[in-house]
This record gives sequence, structure tokens and C-alpha cells, in this order.
Amino acid sequence: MKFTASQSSLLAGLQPVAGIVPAKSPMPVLTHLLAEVSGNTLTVSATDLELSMETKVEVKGLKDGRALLPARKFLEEIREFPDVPITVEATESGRIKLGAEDKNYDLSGESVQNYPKVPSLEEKDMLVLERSRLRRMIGKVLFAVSRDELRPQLTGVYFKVSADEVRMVTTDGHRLVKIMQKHGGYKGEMHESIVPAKAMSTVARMCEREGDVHISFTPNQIGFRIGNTTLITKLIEGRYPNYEAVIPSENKNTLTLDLEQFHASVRRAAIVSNEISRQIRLKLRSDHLQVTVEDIEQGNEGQETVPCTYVGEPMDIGYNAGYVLDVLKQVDTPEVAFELGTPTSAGIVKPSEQEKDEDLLMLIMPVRLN
Amino acid sequence: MAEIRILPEQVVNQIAAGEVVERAASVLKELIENSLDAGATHINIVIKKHGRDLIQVVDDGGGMSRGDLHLAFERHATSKLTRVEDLHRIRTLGFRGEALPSIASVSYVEIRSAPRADGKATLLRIEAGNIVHEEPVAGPRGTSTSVHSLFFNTPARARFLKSDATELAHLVRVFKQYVLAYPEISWTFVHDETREYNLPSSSLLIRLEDLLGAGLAGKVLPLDFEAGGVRVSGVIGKPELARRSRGDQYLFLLRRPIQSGLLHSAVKAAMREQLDEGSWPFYAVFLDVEPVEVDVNVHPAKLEVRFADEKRVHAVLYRAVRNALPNQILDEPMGRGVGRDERVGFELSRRALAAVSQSEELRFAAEGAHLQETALREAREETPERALFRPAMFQVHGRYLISQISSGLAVIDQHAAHERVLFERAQRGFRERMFNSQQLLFPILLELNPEENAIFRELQADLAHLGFQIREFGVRTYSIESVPAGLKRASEANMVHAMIEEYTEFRRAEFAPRDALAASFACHAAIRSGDVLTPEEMSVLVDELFATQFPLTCPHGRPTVIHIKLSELDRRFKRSE
Amino acid sequence: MSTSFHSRVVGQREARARLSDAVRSGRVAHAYLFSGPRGVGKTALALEFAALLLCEREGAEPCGECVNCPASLALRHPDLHLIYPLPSKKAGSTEDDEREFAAVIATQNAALAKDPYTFLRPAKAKDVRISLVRGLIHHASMKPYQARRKVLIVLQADAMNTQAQNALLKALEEPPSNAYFLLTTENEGGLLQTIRSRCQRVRLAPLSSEEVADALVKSGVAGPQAELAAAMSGGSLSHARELSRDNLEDLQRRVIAFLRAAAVCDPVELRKVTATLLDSDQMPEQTALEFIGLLLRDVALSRIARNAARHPVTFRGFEDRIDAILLAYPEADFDAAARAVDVSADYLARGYTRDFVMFALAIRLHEALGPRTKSSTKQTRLDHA
Repeated sequence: MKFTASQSSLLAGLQPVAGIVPAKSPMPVLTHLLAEVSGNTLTVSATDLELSMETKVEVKGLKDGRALLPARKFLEEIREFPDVPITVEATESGRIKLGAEDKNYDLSGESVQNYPKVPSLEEKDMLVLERSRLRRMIGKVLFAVSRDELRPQLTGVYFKVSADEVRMVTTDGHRLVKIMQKHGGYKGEMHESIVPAKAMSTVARMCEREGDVHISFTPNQIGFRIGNTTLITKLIEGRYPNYEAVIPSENKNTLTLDLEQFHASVRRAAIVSNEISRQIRLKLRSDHLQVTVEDIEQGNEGQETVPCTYVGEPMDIGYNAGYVLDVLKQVDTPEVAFELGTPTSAGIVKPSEQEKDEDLLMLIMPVRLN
Repeated sequence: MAEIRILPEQVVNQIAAGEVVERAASVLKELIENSLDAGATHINIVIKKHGRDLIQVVDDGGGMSRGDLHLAFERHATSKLTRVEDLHRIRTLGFRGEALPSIASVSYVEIRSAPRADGKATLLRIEAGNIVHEEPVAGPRGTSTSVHSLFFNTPARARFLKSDATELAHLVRVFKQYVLAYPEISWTFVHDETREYNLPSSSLLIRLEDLLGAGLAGKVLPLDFEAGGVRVSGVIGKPELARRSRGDQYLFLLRRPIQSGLLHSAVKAAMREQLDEGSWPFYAVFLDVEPVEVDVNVHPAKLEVRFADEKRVHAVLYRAVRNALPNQILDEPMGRGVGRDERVGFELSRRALAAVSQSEELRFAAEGAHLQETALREAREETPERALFRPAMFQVHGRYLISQISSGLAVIDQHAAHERVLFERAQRGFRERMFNSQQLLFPILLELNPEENAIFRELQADLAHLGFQIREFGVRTYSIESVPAGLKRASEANMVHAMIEEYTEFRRAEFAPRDALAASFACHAAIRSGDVLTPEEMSVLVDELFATQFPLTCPHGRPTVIHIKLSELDRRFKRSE
Repeated sequence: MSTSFHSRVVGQREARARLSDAVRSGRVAHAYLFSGPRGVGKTALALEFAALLLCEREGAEPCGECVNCPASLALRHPDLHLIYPLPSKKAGSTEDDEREFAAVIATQNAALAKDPYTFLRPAKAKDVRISLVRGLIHHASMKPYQARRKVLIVLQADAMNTQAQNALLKALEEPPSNAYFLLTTENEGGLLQTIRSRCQRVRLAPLSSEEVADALVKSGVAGPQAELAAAMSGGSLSHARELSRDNLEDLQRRVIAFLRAAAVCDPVELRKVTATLLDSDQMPEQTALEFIGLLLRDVALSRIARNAARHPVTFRGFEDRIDAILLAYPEADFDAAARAVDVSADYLARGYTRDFVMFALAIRLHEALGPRTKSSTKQTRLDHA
């Protein structure tokens, strides 16, 4: 394998992929980058056996072939070179030579045979989405992901694609988010999977510029191609809990509030709430809502009245202020709508008006007041 | 062809003696044990030339008659063991009974013994195992055994003796072990005409000071703990007594000095926060167990013991030391002018309190009282500026919080601190009002085995108090529908299970039922080492901690806060003031 | 059917057949517990079974050539996760420590991939770290990387502390799909009953001397040496490997000389033979004692089977010496002699001066052998051997 490329293009291409490379691993081979030259294309990939990334860089190909580059040393070395064409060569004996002008370095490599097969993307039946829309969806759901490793399914993002919509769901058992968007670009079969939250946030970061994301599926993996770069992640095993069953369909009490006003009230109440339970109380009456808070341990209390439109039975309902704030942050409309059942059952939170081609629904479980 | 020579019985004895009599110290040990066995109240030891010339032990115990004396020098004669069961009942010393003939086979022994205080004694001289002289003499009650010229007839063995200094050190070590084990006996130790030790009958603490230097008693913490048939007493040294080399670790089983890597590791583990890597804590620990629990008949020098249930002994010792430890940090505020007299008063009140109640809380109250007060004062002292301006706090290694306080640094263990907060919160929950419960979207299924189920039944009402609403779902199957509000970690799925287990542990350590539940709740609901905290969360935690009644220990008895004084830092940076 | 796969498991045919039947019939349990003494092939079998579970072809044994086999046999398959006792994490460990730690694992894994009979116990290793157990469970909860299944292995599983065992138990109670747990242990009692009851038990018996000798010869040990080491190994291949590094035939001669000197209790001679017996770096005292015990066993056996043309098990080629001992000491109490050897081994393990222990042993052997018959021609031969 041998190629020449400018220092800047090489660095730009390699850097994101190197981010995947584990700093340490019981499999030392994983601390390398897999490089493959075919014609004038250099494909660089890496995997930590969970996330894999691959990127293509245009180079001047001198000799086709594959080699492993010691990620850290190689990248640091390249970074210190001036922006000149650099020639990289893997020798028969498995050493990596890199040089430019009169600077020559010779690094020890690893046998390319030992590197695990890096998964690649199936290019048929891809879902095509605008990057900004994918980023928006991920942004709306990540907050409700669970950290409980004993329920691994909840630590991921439920991801479902069907003929006309794409859907994401997350829940930690205390709250739940479901977001759906219409799309027009998928001809494949219905697909559902649970994607690790870490991979999702990496994808969201990669979706920064304009353009499309191409998404494809295998039973065990999901891949996102963004420009020249592809991210593939292993999926979480198991079935996602039946979230539809816990979304109440008969919550008759409806509450509509000014988002800014309510958000500010809850923020104020949260400050004096008990620092551990963070509990606040909403007293719902026909023409107003009272937000009250009491921290017996510290001897703090407060209340304020928020104008609202409430249609339903008068009732008192307790919430974790943090959960309420998390949910309100996801609402982009001037008003927010609650659909409530009883003081101990799940409440629905929605924007007063949905975005075009989008449906956002959040659930929040109350705190039983004793 | 070499002439074939058969080893005579004598030589067999000599060589076998090598197993029991390794060095002068082993002779001293055997003789002391014989004296203790005889019920002595005064034991005087005379050593000459590091034990090479003379090892003499004189006691006032019940001596031996002429017949007994003869018997004592027959190999395998022992009046102590007649049945196999006796091996398991080893409350008396010297169970092997092989020592005297073994010693006599490699030395010149002169023994004078009188069974009664009637002035009639018998004197025997034995050379290399043979009785060469016998006469009735006058003498007080008791026995005096003199071992001269050890290993005179086994030059090879004599060569095994290490340097004089080493041999003497071994002799002194044996002496120290026994005088600590038997402080009620008065002892003297004379080496080459110099009286090295003169120890009148006293208590363990005074004996410690007599032996290891004045002021020692103020640097140790008493141990007093019993669980699972194992009783732990004695003292452990505060960290300042720890040394870079071994030496002052004394372990006794049924008042017999023993060595046990296992038990040493229990003490070390219990003190891990206080000790630097590689340093040796001071301790004199006495264990009492049912003799059937111990298998002692394994090592001829009787030092290594094996326990039928090693894990339990280890666990009890660990807990005993842990329980004693809150005192560790007691010392810091002492620097602020609290003199020794006050300390004594404090000790007394501690004991008084401990006597009033076995409750773990009260024990903590007693032990933590002092520092707590000071630390609380200190924590509150800064209140005005804290309200405006939170002191900088750092989380290190995802485990500890470091903060500046007026007299130095406070290092807080985030898990232990949170445990303390949750523990008291749960206790308050039981006393005052029910906890609010966070309802769950997906009820969690809980399946229990019969034992767990029985415990769960006991706890169900109290669990509800804590905020766990749990509905019966089938045979030993339940559905958890809500959990206490405001849990930081969402490990609910496993929590009730883990709590039941931990609860049993705390019960075993004699926590009251609700305290045990509160402690196990705290243990499993608390943030863990590795959880990253925001600055806001850190200051909340510290505020909450110092708002508790006993902020200095977690329910397990581990410290929550370590206080490093500015003066300590100055000293270590060699900044003289 | 020719494959490029050569099993490295010695013996244990029955267990191997059972495991490949399970795969063939599609009835693989979610957890297996391989138990048995050290060196009988628990790890070797577990690793081979892991390769079989990951193999694309699912035959009776790993095919050795699919995309999975070479990687799984080399212990670098992305769906094969292996943990075992490691030095406990130092408080306040740094990145560097962690890197060093990863290097320890890499070295150990490489040694194990090279020889599955390697006993993994890195210096200061005590527990199977709970963080590693949690990592293992995490891998189990993810979909496979490239194979159909994930295999999660815990070697020396009894070295997990209770907390770690409980964590693993949760995973065994509700095994994630396609996750297969393989545990090995020398000490089943060190595992929670609840863990044991959730595993299919695969008990491995000691290997036969022939199997061990065969395996030694294949790895380049000379025939007679291999047979000796095998006879002494107690059916443990790893023990046999250690033994085969010693010069066993020479040791046999030295052991016989020791017994001869002990028999007559000749102090000068004893001093000399003890020195030669123990005077070598490659001769651990414990091996010498073991050999003395085996010699006594051979002598005792040949007394029982005197007329049945019974051959010595270990001391082949020393029949005349054994006969001579029997003739000279008709009242010998071999039971007492064997006990004396055990006691001495215990003393040595406790750090007693080895010369003295050996002397005391000689005296006890002397006593156990009992009175000697008056000189006979055989006797002379023994004395002059």
C-alpha cells in the first residue's frame, strides 16, 4: 500500500475516525486505523467493536493494498508535518513509512490479518433524511434515555422506520418521549431497532452541516452515511417495552399554558424545592393553576399562580420539577398542552401545535403525594 | 565402603526437636506457656548471651512433683491430652506436650519445681535428654527452668541461629506477645544482668504504655465487638502509629499469639483509607471463638491457625475494626486545645453511652460527637460568604470531593456522604411521614426466592413508607409500581432485591430492623463512585451531609469526611512556622 | 470430511461429544459451567466450544476456516468476550495503570491462545473484577458484531466476589438473546448455588496417564520423560507440563538413594543424599516429596500384587530395587510412611527449614519401615545401588 496526500486533507480525513479508536484495549490491534488504498481512494476505518467509522479520502494512489496504522502516533506525527504532500507506505515487513521532503519516519505496524472485519453499509433500501431533521429528532429524545444497565433496552433509542414515517422513542420509566416524522424516501421493509444512545449523539454531532443522511439496516447493525463518512453501530439486543400501551388514551383533563410563563414559574419553584426529591405541586382549578413548593427539611416554601386554561376536575398533582423542566425544554411553541388523568397516572405533554410532518408526544409520571 | 551407623533414639529426638525448637525464642515460648499453664501470677525471665548461654523462666504457679517431672521429660508424655476431643478444647496451652523432651535433647536443662508452698522442691539436671542428676532441695512453690547451651550437641543447628541481634529480637518479640496477652501477670525480663522490662500486673492499656512507651494509650482505639460467635477485643492504633516496617502487630486467639495473613488483611482492609500503601498498622487484637471453630493442630510452632469458617472470622474482625474507626478522625479537632483530660472524659462518656444502648446510632453518636460538633461549627462558620459564593469544590477520580475549609482541606467520599444523607432521611421517613413516590411507567417485576420472600414480607410495610409501592402479582412475584421520589440513580430494577440482601447483612451486624432497612436503602440508592457530579450537585450533597445528625460516618461506619489540617500540609511541605 | 481444524483439547471425548450434540440439535443452553481439577482442560474445552458456537458452519467441531474460526481460536473475535482474575485496581489508578492493565490482558490472552492449558493467574491477581463482569454483561446485551451469537467466558469463576457473582446472576436469570455464558471453576463451592443451578454442568475428570503422555510427546517431550511426568501428574496436563521440565529420571535415582539412606538412618549418608536431592534449581522440594510418595505407592502396590506380575506405575525399570525394599522390610507400614510424606509437605509449605524437614521425614520413614531382615544378597544390592 502506498499513497501520497496533502497533510491537511489527510488530517481532516483521519481525525474523526481516530476519535473512535480506543486509547487502550485488551486487543491491541484495535488501537490502529485500518487503511486501504484502491485507485485514488484511501478508505480509513476504525472500530471499538461497538461503533465503527469509515471515511474516504481522495489521494494519489501509488499502490493498492491494506495496512494498519498505529492511530495515535500516526496522527500526532501527521499533525506536526507542514502542509505538504506526504507519502505513506506500508512495507512488506509490516512497517509504516511516512515522509515528505527530507522528513522520513518509520513506524512499527501490526499484521492487517488480525484486524476484525469492519462492517460495511448495505447500499440498497436506504432511508434518506435531511440531516437537520434527524438531528432535531435525536435532540428531542436523548434526555429521557435511561442509565440503568440492568434494563439495557431502555439505555437506547427505539428507532422505527416504516413506509411513510420514522419514529424514535426513549424512556427511563419516569418519562417517555415519542417523536414521529413523515418522510418520502424509503422503499424498504418496516424496520425497528434499539440504537445505543452514545451512537445517536455521535450521529447528531455529525449531522451539523446541510445535506442528507443515508441510513441502512442489518439485523444487528445500523449505519449512517454522512458525506464521505459512515458510522455503523451495533444494536442493543432484545425487545423494546410496549410503550404504546402506557400512553393513555382517555386523559380528559386538559391544561393549556403559556410556555414561557409556566417555565419561569417552575424554575423559580424548583430552586426552593427539596434538593433531593425536587418535588413541586400543581394545584389545578378551573381558571388558574397554582404552583406550590415546600421543603420541610430546609424550611423553604413558596407558591405562585399561573394563568391557564383548564378543562377538567380540580385536582392536586405532584411532579419532580426537573422532569417538568426537561419536558418543557422540548416544546418550541408559545403554548404547551397537558392532558391529564389522575394524580397518579401518566400525563401527556405536547406542543400546542405540531411542526409540519411531525408528531411529538411526551409522558411524565407524577409523584404520589403522601 | 562406609560403615553403616544407625541413628540412636537420642539423635532422632534431636532432629525432631528441629521442628519444635527452631531457635532460642521457641524455647522461651514453650517455657512461658508451661508457666501460664501452671497458673503463674509472676513470671521472671533471665536471658544470657542472647539465649545461647541461658534461657531461664521462673514462675510461682503450681509446680511439678518428682514423678511429674520425670514424666515431663519422657517424649510424648502429656497430662493435658487424653482424648481426641481434647484437641478441640485447647483452652489450656502447651497441647503438644512435646516441648520439654525436645528442648532437653538439644541442651543442658536444670529444672527445679515445687508443687506446694511447703518448701520441698525437686531438682533435675538433664544433659542431651538424659537425666544425669536428681536431688530434693528447698524452694518456693513454682518452677524454675534453665536451658543452658542450646544446640550444644547439634552444631549444624547452632549454625542455623541467626545473628545475636536477630535472636534477641525474636526473644523480645515472644516476650511482648505474652505480656500483652496476660497483662494481669507481672513479668520481668533480664538480659545479661540488665533488667530490660519490669511490668507489674495491670490492664492492657497500661501494659501497652509500659511496654511501648508513654502516650500510647491515647493513640489507640479500643475494639469491642461480637457477632456470629466471634468476639473481638483489644486495640488498634491510629494511623499515626503505622510504620513502614512490620513489628507491632499482635494477634491473639484465645489469648494465644497467632499469625494469620488472613486476619492481618482484615485489619488492613478495614483501615485502608487511613493507611498509606505499604505501611503496617499497630494493633493488639484478641479473638475469642468457640474452640470447635478453630483448627489449631496444624503447625508445630502453634502460630498458624486455621478456622473452620475463615470468611466469617475475617468479616467479623473487619467489622470490628470498622466500627472502631470513626475515632480515627477524632484526633483532628483535638489539636484545637482539647487536652488529654477532656479526652478521658470523652472516653468515659463514650463508654457510658455504649453501655446504655447497643444501638448502632448511639455508638456512632458517642464516637462521632466531638468532631462532629467542631466540624459542624466549622462548616457553618462560613455560612454568610457561602450564601453568596460557594467555595470551590472539586470532584476527583469521580469519587471524592475536595473542598477548602477554614482550617485546611476536607475530602469527602461522595458515596459514603450520600449514604449518610439517605440513611437519615429514611429514618426520618419512618418516624415522621411517608415518602412521596415517583410513579413508574413500566412496573418492574420482582421475583423472590422463599428466603427473600420471607424477609420481604417483614419489610413490605416499611418499604411502602420509603415510597416503594409494591403489588402482589403471583406466587412470590410482585410488581413495583413506584419508587421513592428523587432517586439519583435509576437502578430501580435491582434495588429491592439488593436491599433485601443488604438488609440481612445489617441485621447480622445487629442493626435494629428499621435502621437496617434504612441503611440498605441508603447503600443502594446513593450515588456511586464514578458518578460525575455537577458543581450544584456537589454543594447540595455537602450541605445535606452537614445537615445530618452524624455527618462523619456512613451507616457502615466508614468515614465520610477526612480532614487534612493546614498545619499538616505545612509540615509535609517542610514549611516551618 | 477434511477440515483445517485440529482440536487442542486432550481427551474429554464424552464432554466434547455432548457439547457438539447440543449445537447440532440446536439445544445449546445459555450457560455452561465447566468444572474439574486444574489442568484437565476446562479452559481448552470452553474455548473450543466458544469457537464452535461462533463458527459459521455449526458442525461437530469448529471448521477452522470460516470468517469466525481463526479469530475466535486466536481469542480476538469481536463476539468472544473473556474475563478472569486480574490484579485488583489500585486506588486512584491512572490512565497509565489502565493502559498497563490492558497490556496485561493482552499478554495473558496471547498466552492462552497459544496454549489453552496455560493457567492464567497474573501476578497479584485475586478477584475477577466486578467492572469486568459488568462489561461482560454489557456485551451480552448488545447484538453480535459478526457472528450469530455472543460468547461470554469467565475463567476461574469462583474468583468473582459475591457482588460480582450477583451481577452475573441477573444476566443468567434473564439471558439476553444470543448470549452464551461459559464459566470454568476448580471449586464449584466457590460459586453461588443460584449460579450453579442456572448452568449446565460439564464435569471434567482427570486425564488418563496415556492421554497426558501423548500430549506431552506431541509437544516435544521425550518419551520416557513424558511417561514419567504423566504418571506423576494426577491427570493434569498443566501439572505434567511443569513436571516435564525437570529431569525426572535423574530425580528417580536421587529419590531411591534418599529412601535407602532413610531406611538405614545413616546420618552421614542422609546429609549427603538430602543435599543432592534438593540441590538443584530445577528440583522444587515439593516435587521431590511427591516423588517419594509415588515411590512408596509403587512399593506398596507391588507388595499387594506380588504374584500378579504387577509393574510399578511410576518407577518403571526400578523393579529390582523395589523388590529389595520389600524383602528387607517385611513389616513396613506404608500408610504411616505416606502420612509422613504428607506431613513433611505441609511443613515445607509453611516455610520450615527444608533440611530439617527432610531429616525428620527420614526418621519417620525409618520408623515406618520397621526392622530390617538380616542381610541378604538383595539387601546388599540395595545398599550398593
